[in-house]
Amino acid sequence: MLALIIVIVLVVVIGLVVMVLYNGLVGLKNKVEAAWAQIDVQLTRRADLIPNLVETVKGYASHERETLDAVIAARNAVQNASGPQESANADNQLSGALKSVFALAEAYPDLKANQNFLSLQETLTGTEDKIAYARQYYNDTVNRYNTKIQTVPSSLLAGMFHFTEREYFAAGGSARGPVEVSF
Amino acid sequence: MEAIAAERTRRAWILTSVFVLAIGLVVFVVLALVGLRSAAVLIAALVAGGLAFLSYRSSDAVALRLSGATPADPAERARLHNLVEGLCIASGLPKPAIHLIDDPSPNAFAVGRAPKHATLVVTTGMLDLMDRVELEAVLAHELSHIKNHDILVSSLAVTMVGLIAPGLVPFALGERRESSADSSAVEMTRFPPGLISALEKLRDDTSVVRVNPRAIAHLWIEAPIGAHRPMAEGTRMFDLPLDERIAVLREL
Repeated sequence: MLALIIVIVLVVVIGLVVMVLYNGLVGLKNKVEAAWAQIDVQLTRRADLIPNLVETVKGYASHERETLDAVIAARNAVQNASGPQESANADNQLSGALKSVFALAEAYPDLKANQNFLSLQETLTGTEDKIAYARQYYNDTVNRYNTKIQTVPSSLLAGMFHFTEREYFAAGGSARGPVEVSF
Repeated sequence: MEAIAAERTRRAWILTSVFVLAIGLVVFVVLALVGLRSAAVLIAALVAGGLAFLSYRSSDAVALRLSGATPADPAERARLHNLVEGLCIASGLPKPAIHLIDDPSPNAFAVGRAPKHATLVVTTGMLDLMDRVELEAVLAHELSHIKNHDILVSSLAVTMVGLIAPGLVPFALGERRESSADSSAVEMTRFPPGLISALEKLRDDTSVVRVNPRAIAHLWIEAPIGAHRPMAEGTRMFDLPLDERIAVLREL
């Protein structure tokens, strides 16, 4: 009789422990998914703002075709990129192209004083920051998730329930070099 | 960072318990003297519990009212809102309400009872003095107070201690709040020079906020000196002075 009770208690305790560990893994996995989605939200926002910026600048610096075309081309490259390496390269190119457009304001004081331009500059700079922070948060979350999968006792469950490690977001090869700004 | 948050939550419970016991005792003694011995305990408990709950719920509103802060318009203060949003993405925090105080002296604080019900307050002087990177560092420091649950303790301290016995506030707050907020801020931005530069500017600035009630003196990032000097030094009693905080950050 006593043996039976002990067995039941053990089963219940183990069950509870498994439940807690499993829920912990699920929670972190969902956090990783959400963090990845957040990056896309900011990328989309940036892409949506760029046409507006180009139109505003055209009004004041219409003969700066090269710089403006470079931004449009870079934006399209980001939209069409496939695979992490291509995406990272296109992203880096777009950041450089945007910086070139903002630098134009130095040569065109009317543009620099334009409220719409200033507002777009602030919003786009903010969005670039948010993209960087979203990636940082994604990597932090992946770190916590991978660590949990690798360490005992969660590691025992991870294999059983097919929780697999996630990849970090890494800057592309060319992103490590200096960003090109052309006038 | 979770360890700090847990310590602060424990501290909040202790603070609340002391408050409840103190109020309860006072009410009980008063009632007992008047002759209502039997009902005294129950009434004392109800009054003390009620006041504690009210203090908890209203602590941020009281602090905001005392400081004269008003909401910051997102269109007018786009940079401020953008920077806070970026940091919230980096830290996984919900975006707090953002308020402004019209004052040329640079300063800031955060209040609220939980990250979901928090308010970040900045003076217009701070916005004028700091560049984008420095402002971001200051905001990260304030958001760290929110993340570490510092704001729960400091907000409770406003209503439970500050309004009654301001001199006891340092003992209620605990150690190294500012320095741990500094390290959490750098963890958020991954850029120590930003905060170093901001703290240096604050150290070299000699102005003091105009509206400066004692009850909220402990909340500010930069201790307001002047009329309340002993108090301000006291709130930093268990913390490092600005120069040492800057030195610690340089070591990183």
